[in-house]
Amino acid sequence: MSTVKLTVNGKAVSADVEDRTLLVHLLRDHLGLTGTHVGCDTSQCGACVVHIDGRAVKSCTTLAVQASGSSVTTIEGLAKGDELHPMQAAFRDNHGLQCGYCTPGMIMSAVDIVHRYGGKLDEATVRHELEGNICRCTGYHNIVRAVRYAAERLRVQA
Amino acid sequence: MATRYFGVAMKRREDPRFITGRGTYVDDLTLPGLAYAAMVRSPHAHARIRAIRKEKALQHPGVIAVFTGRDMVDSGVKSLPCGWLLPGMKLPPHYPMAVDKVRHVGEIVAVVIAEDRYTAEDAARLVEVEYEVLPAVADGAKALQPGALAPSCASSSNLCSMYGSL
Repeated sequence: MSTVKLTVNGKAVSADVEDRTLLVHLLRDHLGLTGTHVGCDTSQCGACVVHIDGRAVKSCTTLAVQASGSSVTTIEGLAKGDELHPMQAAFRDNHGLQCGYCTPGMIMSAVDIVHRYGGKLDEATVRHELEGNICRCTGYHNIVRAVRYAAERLRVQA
Repeated sequence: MATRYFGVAMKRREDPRFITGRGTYVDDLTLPGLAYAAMVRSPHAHARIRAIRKEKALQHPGVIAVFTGRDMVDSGVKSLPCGWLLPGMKLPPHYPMAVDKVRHVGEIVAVVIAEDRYTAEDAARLVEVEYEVLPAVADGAKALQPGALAPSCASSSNLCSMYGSL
């Protein structure tokens, strides 16, 4: 067993977990943050993406102890109170979701993509960057549109 | 009504909870007495199951039960039906878990039920399955040749159904 201390969505948390506990299970089972999903158990689908110190990672492939001392942001921590993050608003405005299962991972990946490219995103880049996030409802047309829409708005804001 | 619903972009009522991580999917539920399942799967494309030994898995702390395909059939579970049978289509028996024989890599041969998911996965590795490996056909065209191995004891050829003309 190990004691893991980290910051999750701005709050300091501490948990005693088995050394092999995955970050996604710390978030879901110990902290009750079930917005981060396990879609495939094989690191392919990206439904589990969270940010560790601002970088997108698949939390199903990260040990909880690896995140010790870092700052984790999950989908629950992205909005500022009632004010949606522009990426969340973009997914809603562009119908970028159907069942919603992949959406938290899509949004967390997309925010990281926009940060890395500084908001200048063409369609091919978005599609390439979202390779690690799988949607099984509708295909990617509106997801890509939502990411580019948010990128444009975030670029204007910046 | 026409002005409210037609010719305008509709926002979905369910989206706010999904984009903020507040949906409630089945995996998000925690119920009293909740248990977890892990599957034991076949590493072979075609093999006879000679024996499945559950003892070590059952002795593992936190394990509640281990079931095999044979257990399932003995308790009365029937073959899965086909939702849309075509005229003349063959319907070999198909069970949620393999009974006596596996017919593809990854077919479920046993399920371990435990108090938590990590224990279930640990114990799934303790289930010992003895296989007699049989020849396999992994090519569609070869599977249709006369004398190719039939996947099921219920039919003599691999052709399931003819729909239209070849």
